[in-house]
Amino acid sequence: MKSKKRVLVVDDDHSIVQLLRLVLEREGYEVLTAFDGPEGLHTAWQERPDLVILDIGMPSMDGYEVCRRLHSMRETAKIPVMMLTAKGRLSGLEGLEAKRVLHRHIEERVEGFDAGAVEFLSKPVVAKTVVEAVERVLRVAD
Amino acid sequence: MEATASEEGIKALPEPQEATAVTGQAQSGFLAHVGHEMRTPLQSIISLTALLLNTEMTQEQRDYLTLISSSADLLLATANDVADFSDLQAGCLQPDESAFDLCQVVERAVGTSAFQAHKKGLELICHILPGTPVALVSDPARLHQVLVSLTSDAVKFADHGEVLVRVETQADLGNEVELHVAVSGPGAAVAQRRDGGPGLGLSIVQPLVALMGGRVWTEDQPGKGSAFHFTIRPKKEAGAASVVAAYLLKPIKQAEPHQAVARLLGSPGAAQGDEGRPGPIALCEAPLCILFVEDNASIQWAGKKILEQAGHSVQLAGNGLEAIQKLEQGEFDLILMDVEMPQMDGLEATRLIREREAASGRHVPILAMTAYATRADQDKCLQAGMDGCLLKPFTPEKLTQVLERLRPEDSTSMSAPHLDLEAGLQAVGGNEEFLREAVQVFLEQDLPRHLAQLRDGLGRGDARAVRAAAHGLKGTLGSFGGMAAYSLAQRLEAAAEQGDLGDAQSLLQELVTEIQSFAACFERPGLG
Repeated sequence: MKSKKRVLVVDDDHSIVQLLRLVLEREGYEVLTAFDGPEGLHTAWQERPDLVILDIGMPSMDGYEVCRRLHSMRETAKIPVMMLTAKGRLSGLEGLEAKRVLHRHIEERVEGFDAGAVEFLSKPVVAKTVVEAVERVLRVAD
Repeated sequence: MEATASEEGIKALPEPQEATAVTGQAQSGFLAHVGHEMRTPLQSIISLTALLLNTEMTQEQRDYLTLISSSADLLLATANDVADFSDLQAGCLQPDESAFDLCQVVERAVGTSAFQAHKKGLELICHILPGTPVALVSDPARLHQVLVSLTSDAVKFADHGEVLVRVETQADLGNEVELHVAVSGPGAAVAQRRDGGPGLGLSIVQPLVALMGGRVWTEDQPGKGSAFHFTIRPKKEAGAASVVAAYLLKPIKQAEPHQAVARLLGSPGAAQGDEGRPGPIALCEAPLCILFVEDNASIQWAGKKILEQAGHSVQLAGNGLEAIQKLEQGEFDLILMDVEMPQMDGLEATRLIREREAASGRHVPILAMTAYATRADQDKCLQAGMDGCLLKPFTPEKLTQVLERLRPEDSTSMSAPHLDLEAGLQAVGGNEEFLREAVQVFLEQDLPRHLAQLRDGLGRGDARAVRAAAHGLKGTLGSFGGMAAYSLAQRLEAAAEQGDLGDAQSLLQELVTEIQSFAACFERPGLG
């Protein structure tokens, strides 16, 4: 049995970090945390996690920038990155908003993929989806 | 000598009967040829315009192109008529026997006239009566042709009012069914056609209908309009027992060639693709008292039926003024409001209703029913005080879903719950303790920061900062199941995105209050 896989969660919302930590630890992952972009970069460089989950909308340095920088450093270039986005819901009565949300959603993804992300997670967070995505990305990375 | 010459002259002439036959054959061959020669280039015009319509262009360009496209469709129909006409003359037209969906054929055929109808300000409506079998076997291409021909005529000769295509079962003959189709309009299409008129029209309709085992007759009410009737006798598709529950179509305003009609209140049979037909409309658990405001009588009728089938009680109003009168007489849980109506339109009515409500503090949810897809149009509805738009086309399922969503949590509030425990638990994989813990972190650490950012952004009049902060807060609130707060954050985000910070301050206040209610849910020992 290999040692625990290590996942770094970077989000300026402490509550989201805490939520993901609880959910992923229960699944047997070791969870590292950081609360802004620079701290995330530093932790990633120091700890070399197996996967980074990055919030897109962070104040000092956004998720895209963190991702680009991660991939520009040799030590961290190969770590897969999942992005966390608050795209909003498309279903329901927000139909009139849906087009705009969808458009932004697509833009986010294009920029995210450009920056080197391999997977996207939408807020509101759903534990099951997160766990499945983490498993999937780690399986591919192996 | 003279006599001989005259004799030879007579002989030289072929028999009159034969002469017609020969000319007829030549004509028929020529027509068939022309028909074919026309169809090939037309086909490319049609496919290329369809492709072009999928690219970016201005609304004006789109309108022109849509017009080109529907003209090409009509021309193709004529070319098909020509080809069939020559086949008929040559006596070699054989009916096809294939399975088809009645709703789809009617929708497509009538749709080819949607744009013309819209340009002339006509209402174009298809109504397939409940109980009509939809899985049929006959010649769908010919049926399409007949419907296109009659509908485009009815539209051509009308200048106001509505053109109605109505389908009903005349007789159920076991394996077969006799359908009665009536195409009626305010124009004098019948008289025009009797006097010849442009196009091939009846000369092709009659033999085609006969080919499908039916007959054609007309009805003319001078000054009132006219109608073409025909019957066909398709077989019922073996093993398929589906009948229409309620089916009514209304053209959308900017008709796209391939979706030229919008399904206002769709039918099971009209579901796209071949996936299984949904069952009958599910009975709603919490029946609502609904005011259905719509000027078109057929749509009123079908809407009422569908809503009543779902268990709701429905009252009708024919325009905005009537709606307001109804509201004075009784209370409703919901108003479904058409936008364009005579006397008083939906926007005006909504404004008046909201003004009156200002005194009582009540807020009846009003949903617009509109085919207008542009944001500007929808914004108009929201600005008038509507709570949302139900975009046509919508199906009964969609309508029921929307109603479910609107169902009041209690008698005082129609809004989302403070805490949607199910959503919150989904975020943490069902562990209530995890949820409590994360929410506590949110309230203690994240919320103050988010609020500071929002207040700061508002203070500086920095819409982008407000938008970003509201966006972040939204995602987090949603993750913990704070759905009412989530909606408020979303509204705040949308307002900021529009650069509209006027309402933002009061929205923020509402949001703070709502988050307090959300937090209060976690003070209780049990969340359920």
